[in-house]
Amino acid sequence: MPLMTTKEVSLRILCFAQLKDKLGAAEFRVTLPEGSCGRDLFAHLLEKNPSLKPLLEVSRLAVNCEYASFNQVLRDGDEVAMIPPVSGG
Amino acid sequence: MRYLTKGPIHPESWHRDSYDMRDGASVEFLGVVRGKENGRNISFLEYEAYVPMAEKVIAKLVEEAKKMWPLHKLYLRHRIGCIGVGEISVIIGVQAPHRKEAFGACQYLIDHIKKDVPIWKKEYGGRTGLARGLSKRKTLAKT
Repeated sequence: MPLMTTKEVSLRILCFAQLKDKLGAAEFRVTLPEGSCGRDLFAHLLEKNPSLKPLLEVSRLAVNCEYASFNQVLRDGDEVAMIPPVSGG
Repeated sequence: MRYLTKGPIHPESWHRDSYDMRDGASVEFLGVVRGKENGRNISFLEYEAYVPMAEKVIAKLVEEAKKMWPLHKLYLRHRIGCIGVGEISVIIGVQAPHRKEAFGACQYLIDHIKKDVPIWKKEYGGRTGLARGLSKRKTLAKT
């Protein structure tokens, strides 16, 4: 019987502003099953930090410095930034 | 960093550049740190940015503005770090043949900077320099 292996992707997660303050970290790594998308990453973070829900719901996602949809499949080594509502200017 | 800067913004630096003879309008927007936010006294704001992405998004906005209006000169800087009350946080200067184009481009750029560029500000208030919602103390003298 062949050995079943589950492939994973390792992501570099960046957090800013209120998200960084709430998580207590600006950067960390997350490993998800291959084929995971932005929505899966949000679900993963929410599972570990349920209190983040209101903030995550209004946050955007950027993959490798480009805004991305929650359906975008994440690749191994991607830099994924969680972008809470911006307030520049 | 091209559009972001950690140092003070000096509007006269773009005024000194030569004027394009095709232009009849020059519009400048300055964002300045207010002394009060929602009725609360502010001592300074701290701006944080996702620098590589902020630079990229601003560069894209500048290219879009140049495609939409005939701009012969465009100067844009956003300061990051701690900025005191009365100091400039952002400057957008544009020159175009006519005022409608110059106003339009300037408005477009500041609106999209506020909406899309990954920059965040945190307020530090009053004499204590206490960040809103946090117990962390920070003063301008220490930063």
